[in-house]
This record gives sequence, C-alpha cells and structure tokens, in this order.
Amino acid sequence: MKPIASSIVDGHALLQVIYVSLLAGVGIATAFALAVLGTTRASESRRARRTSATVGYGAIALAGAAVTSAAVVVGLVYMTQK
Amino acid sequence: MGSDILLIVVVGTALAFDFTNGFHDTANVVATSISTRAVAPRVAVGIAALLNFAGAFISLKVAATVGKGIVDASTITMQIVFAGLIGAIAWNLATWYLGLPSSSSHALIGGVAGAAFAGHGAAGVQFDGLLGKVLIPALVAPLLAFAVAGLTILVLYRLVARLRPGPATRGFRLGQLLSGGMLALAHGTNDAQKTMGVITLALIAHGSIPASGFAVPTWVVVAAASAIALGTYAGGWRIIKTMGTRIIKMDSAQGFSAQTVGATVILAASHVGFPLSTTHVISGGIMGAGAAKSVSAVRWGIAGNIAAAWALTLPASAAVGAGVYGFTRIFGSGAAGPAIVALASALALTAALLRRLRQPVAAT
Repeated sequence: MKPIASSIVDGHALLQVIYVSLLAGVGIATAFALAVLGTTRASESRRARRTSATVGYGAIALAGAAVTSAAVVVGLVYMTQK
Repeated sequence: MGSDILLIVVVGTALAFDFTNGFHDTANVVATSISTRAVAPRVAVGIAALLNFAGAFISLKVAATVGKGIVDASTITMQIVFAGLIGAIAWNLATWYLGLPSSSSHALIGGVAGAAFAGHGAAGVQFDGLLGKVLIPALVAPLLAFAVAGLTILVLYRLVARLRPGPATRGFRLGQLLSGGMLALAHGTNDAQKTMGVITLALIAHGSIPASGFAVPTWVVVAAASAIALGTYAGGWRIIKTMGTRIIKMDSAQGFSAQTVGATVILAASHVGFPLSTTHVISGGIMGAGAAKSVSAVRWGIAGNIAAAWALTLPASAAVGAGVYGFTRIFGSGAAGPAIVALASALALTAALLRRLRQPVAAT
C-alpha cells in the first residue's frame, strides 16, 4: 500500500530540490566570491609587481567567472524548458 | 451578449490581478539591491519591469495548468474564476497596505478554491492537492532558503574576510545585478503565465478558442506581460521597505547571498517540478543571511508578522473568493453579479487612491 504522505508530496522531487539548492546555491555564490577575491588580489599583486601571484589570482578570478557565467546560461536554459 | 460581457469582466479582472502580482512581487527582485545601494530604486524597478516583460515570452508551457490538481477543473465556471481573482486581488492589496510580503500564487489558488468550495462544496476542491502543492511547499521554501543562504554567507565572509571592504562591496553589488536579473526573468516566466492561463480558461469557457489543441493567443501573452511589467514598474514600495530594511540591515554580501540563493532555489525547484513561492524563498533567504551573521540581527517580530501573513493567505483569500461568489450568484449565473462587483471594486479603489493623493505628504 502506498503511504498517504507519498501520494500527497513527491518525496523524490523534494529531496532533489534540497540537495540541488544546497549544492548550486552555495557553489555558485562561492564561485562568484572567488571571482571577486581573485580579481581584487590580482589587481593588488599587479601593482606590487608580483607576477606569479598576479597569474595565480587571475586564474582563480577567471575560473570563478566561468562557473558563474555557466550557471547563468544553465538557468536561462531551465527557464526556456519549463 | 451576456457571456461576452462576462468574458470582458473576467479578462479585465485577470489583468488587474496580474498588475497587483507585479507590484506586490517587485520587492522579491529589487529589495536587496536597493537596500545595499547596488542600484538606484527607480532604475531597479525599471530593469525589473523590462525583464518581467521579457520573461513572460520565454515559455508558455505551464499557462494551461492553473489550478490543476487543486480544484475540479470540470466544475470551474467564469464566475468562480472571477471570484477567485477578486479574493487574490483583495489579499494582495491588504498585505501591500500592511507592507507584508506574501505569495500572489497562493492568494490566487486560495481565492479560486474558496469560490469552488462555495459553488460545489467540498467536492469542488482537491484537498490533497492543496496540501501537496501549497501548504508543504510553503513550509519547505523559507526553511530551505534560510539554511542555504545562512551557509552561503558564512562561506562568503570567510573567503573575503581579508579583502578591503571597497572592492568586495563593489563585487557583490555587481553580483546582485546578475542574480536580480535572473530573478526578474524567472518571475516574469512563472507569474505572467498564471494570468495567461486564467484568461485562456475563460476564452475556452466562452467558446472563443477550442478546448483541445489550443495555443495561448498572442494578444493574451502581450497583455499579461504588459500588466505584470507595469505593476512591477509601479513598485510596491511598502513591501520593498520591509524586505530591504526592516527584516535585517543587510550588507552587500548578505544581499548577494539572499538573492543568488533565491534565484538558484527557485530555478532548481521549478526544474524538478516542485514550484516554490518566490516571496517565501527570498524572505527566507534574507532571514538566513541575517541570522548566520548574528541571530539578533533579524527582527523576529517582523519575521513573525510575515509568517502570520503566509499562514493566513490561503484561508483569507478563500473566504473573500467564497463571499464574492455567493454575492454574484444572487444575480444569477450571468454577467450582472461579476459586473457589479468589478465596478464597485474599481470605484472603491479609485476613491481610496484619490483620498490618498489629497493627503499631505508626511515628513519622514
């Protein structure tokens, strides 16, 4: 017999919402924060003429920006597929 | 002739609901950006209005599913739809006046369910659907957003702790523009479709378009998109003030966290077919971003008032929907009842607006 609760609430969808929200919410915000961190530090390193630090922080900024951009594209695709 | 008038009244009321939906939910999209000075207030509502308009054209797939699984579709008449819309508009206006964010979708569902209950008794309402599609998501949405936004802000603070405040603030403000834009697009896609669905149902009931294999007419899409965009541009400033400054005093990282988590949760939930209220998600996100910094940073009295409004949304809009349906039935099943209610509502709103315009502006 199917439990009453499972016929009212789609438990699988609910669990999916929870873990996708947790991973994507924290992940995307962290990626953007890394882009902010990388850009700021790269700029400071460039002014201090520390080439390796500039390249390293620049790479972090680029990676963060790439993940954020990809998330925006995925979000737009989700909207059109609803 | 009578059914033509009824159709015009229902379409006009649906567009009025769409307008209130827009100005009621403007806060969800712009409150955090305005509060952290990421963007000027008028520019924020202008961008939000444009993106809501554009969002309404992105997808039409759920326009025909309004009320599905919540009311018995075979018993829905234009009078029930009209009474439901009035219930939702009344709740939207009441909560806007009190500056309380609440779900326009839940108000519409409550209004239609109340009118269906008044028309057909308990058989007209699918209570399992109400529980599964309204009540449980209303509990999940704020709690999930609260937890995710709280966790996110802790990670962000740790990451940017040693940065100078200036660059970090500018960075997060830029991020808010991005996440706010996504929210506005998602809102236009989700919420304008409800009105398109209501108008399409009315056109089917009127016989203007066939019940099977229909497409939402272009004029319906343009009208619904325009109404929600105009409502958004009008801006529900009382609710913007509550969400932007009265729940917590937020910094740009908190605003970014609440908004990004809000957009992510809404899109994730929508994608897996578990739609959550934008209002509940953003409000929960703001509280979570505040509480993670310091529990006492959240004004729990305001949060309690908001939660009370959420709890009352369904019964209050249902009661108004049922009352309006009962009143319109006094005049029979034709257009007379809805026309009288629509005219009386329009007159009352115009009188209230004129009275407000005559009042001197209070110094704040």
